[in-house]
Amino acid sequence: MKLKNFYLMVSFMAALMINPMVVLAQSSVSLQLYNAVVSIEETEEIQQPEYQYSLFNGFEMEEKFDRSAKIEIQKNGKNLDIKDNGEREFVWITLRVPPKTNLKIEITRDGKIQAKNISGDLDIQVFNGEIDLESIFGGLSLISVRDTEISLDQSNIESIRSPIFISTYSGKVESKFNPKSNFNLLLSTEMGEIKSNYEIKIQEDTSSPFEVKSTSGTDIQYPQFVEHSVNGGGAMVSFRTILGDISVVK
Amino acid sequence: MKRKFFQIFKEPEIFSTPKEQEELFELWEKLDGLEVQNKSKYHLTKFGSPGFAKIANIAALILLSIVLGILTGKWMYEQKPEKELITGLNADFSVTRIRSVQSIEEKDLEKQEVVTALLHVLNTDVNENVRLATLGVLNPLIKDDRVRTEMIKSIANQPSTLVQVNILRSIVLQTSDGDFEDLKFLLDEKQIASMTKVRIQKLISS
Repeated sequence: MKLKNFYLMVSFMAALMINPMVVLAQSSVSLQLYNAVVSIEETEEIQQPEYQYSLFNGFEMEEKFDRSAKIEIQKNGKNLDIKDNGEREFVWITLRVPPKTNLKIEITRDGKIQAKNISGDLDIQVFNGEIDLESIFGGLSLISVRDTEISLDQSNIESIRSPIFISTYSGKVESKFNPKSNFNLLLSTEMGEIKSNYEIKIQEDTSSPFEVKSTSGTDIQYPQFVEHSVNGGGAMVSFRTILGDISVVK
Repeated sequence: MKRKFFQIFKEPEIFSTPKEQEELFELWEKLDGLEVQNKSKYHLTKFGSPGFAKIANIAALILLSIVLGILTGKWMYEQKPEKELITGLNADFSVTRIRSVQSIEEKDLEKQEVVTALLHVLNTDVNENVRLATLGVLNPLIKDDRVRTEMIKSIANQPSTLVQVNILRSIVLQTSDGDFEDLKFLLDEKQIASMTKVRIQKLISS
């Protein structure tokens, strides 16, 4: 085989193999905690996730910045796993993550999560809680098993490119989007209310066993659901709840 | 070249006399004079020279083959959505699994193995949002009897009331004849939430 042909074959095969399986090494953080207050900050100043935490057992707060018997921490390069060992204390944790870090947060009881300007994916599961998210550029999957108040402010993002899925049992989902953003909106609440200043049509569900109820003089029918293309459609934005209220404003 | 002449020079039996050796030195000097190292550099680097053109040709062909490789790889993956689906569904992050499910296009739904994989996801994925995303992709197929039957069965498999009522809503919206008798068996299923049962009861009796 001629050398030139060999080079061609090698480069062709190399290109074939690396595409589209090219996966740039991303950081990832996994938290599995019982009760937690989590604050997440993304910064370009660091290459690997960093953390600080403190524990509160109901009587005193103890500052800890290193390995603890009560918290299991595994740090492997760009990956950080933090678990509590069921001591059932509150953990306050502050995470600093590099851009494009994927975050998975499971809080089995009460959780308060605050995150802003996140470019990686966020995968959140809480039981009860309060979640305050702003400018989530990556994808979002959020599940709340019980009563949770969720605030999602995407008003600084003109182009929503990743899916946003929020499912809750009860509580509130309040969201704000940039008027220029395009996405497919899917909302449903079985026994709550949908409010929006988008021109959406709340559709009827013929399987509804529930009667019309009156709130502030306005009759509304529930369950309520909405399927609407905002500015021509795009990534899926899905908010679904059983008992909760949903608000979507621009 | 130098090595060759050096080797010849090192063989005294061939050039044994001083005269012959001197002639050889002269010949070597002449040949050294013919070495055109500067010309070689000129050959390889100067724009427009034959050497440059040759290197540029090879570089262009390698670049072309890389581009072709990337396009071929992309095409191959686009032809195998079920493979991508299965790969993506092993991801640890639910958002990755949602993306994987949503990457299925309408034309891919004509493939039986894709529909089977999606129904499997609807029944088994641990994450409620992944199951709801899958429901959204399966929606256009509910008019197909087989898919409808599988989705009704799936209601009984769902531990989440939210997913149960959303599957039920999708089925209701895709049922034009108002016949919901095939939902009746769900009323006896233990896992079905009372909220879902009330709705099924209403659908059957109306």
